[in-house]
Amino acid sequence: MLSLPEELLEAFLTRLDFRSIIACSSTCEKLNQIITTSQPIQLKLHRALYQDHTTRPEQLQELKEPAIAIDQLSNLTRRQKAFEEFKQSLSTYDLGAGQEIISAYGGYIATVPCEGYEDPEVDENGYITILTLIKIPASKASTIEKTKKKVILEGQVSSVIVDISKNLVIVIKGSEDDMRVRAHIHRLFSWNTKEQKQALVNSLQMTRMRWNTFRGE
Amino acid sequence: MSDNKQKVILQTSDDEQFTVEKIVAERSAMIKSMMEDLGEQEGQAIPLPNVSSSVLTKILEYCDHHKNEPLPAADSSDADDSRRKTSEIGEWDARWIQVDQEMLFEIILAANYLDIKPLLDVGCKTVANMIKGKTPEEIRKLFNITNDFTPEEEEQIRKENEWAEE
Repeated sequence: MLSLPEELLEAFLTRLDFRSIIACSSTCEKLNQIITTSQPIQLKLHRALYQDHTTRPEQLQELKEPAIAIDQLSNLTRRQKAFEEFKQSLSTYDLGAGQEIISAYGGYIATVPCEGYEDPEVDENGYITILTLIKIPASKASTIEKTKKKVILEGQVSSVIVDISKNLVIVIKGSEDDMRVRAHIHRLFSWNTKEQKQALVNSLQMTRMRWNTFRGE
Repeated sequence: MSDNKQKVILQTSDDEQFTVEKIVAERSAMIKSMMEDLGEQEGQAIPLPNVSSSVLTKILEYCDHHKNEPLPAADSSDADDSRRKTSEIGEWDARWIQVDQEMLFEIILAANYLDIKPLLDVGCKTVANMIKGKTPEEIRKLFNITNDFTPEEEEQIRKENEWAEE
């Protein structure tokens, strides 16, 4: 099988479920290499982990077949477009000093510090909390309704740890809604930079990092 | 125009010639575009240097069975989507593709070369189904893959992946 062209090996692998992809990555260098560098496969792995955010690794065998990467790409494009429109509608929204909106999704606004922000905190792992999720206030509901029908105005404020150099967004705590927003933000991060490919290669490390976080390591 | 009964000659790598209906040969986007390029040159064989007669015989069975279905549009991500979404293989296709592994890979290679997208899809799904649910060791055995990781790399990968295994 390994003598087949890589594009065909990739075509086989993209049709596999999450666990089988992981199994293939442990068979030999070549498959491992394809899996860690293929954008569609990496997206699929991501999606398997982030689509159902309540799933713990021990339940992964029960994950239903995630939608294929090509769907994800078109969804992503749609969402990015929706966000661009959404952002314009919020241009007059006052976040207070030192905050800048980088993303809005699922009833939350993700903000990063800008001029006027106090020094961010560094945790024991050396990660800096620079991204904050803010619940969209109900007073803005009417504006939001116009551009995005499915925004739900509930949930809690929480924080995310971001390592921009690696495009890591690590889950610390939060409601189910938070998880969805984080996955969304992660995708924005991954795809808005010029190092798209590297980000996706790094993303496998991210999924591992997430598990370590769950285990408290 | 009774184009449907028009014939075309295909010549394989082992120099066998196959005379087939145009509508059957056109399942291959590659052959279709070659026919368009060649025009109406009756009797001219289309060379397929990457396909053997045994593989072409098998593939023509597939093309003949599906000859009356609409061709996937050349630029159709939508059609692509709907085909890919169904992870199932049609009953006839599943029976047809019950071949040994060597033949299966040759069919896939030929489908790729001849640009028969639905067939390539069936082949890839078949391989994926063979892999599904197996352990790394079982996959190596199935496809005769040599474990070329160093013990250190293997330990590293095992550690990284252990959360996804039982």
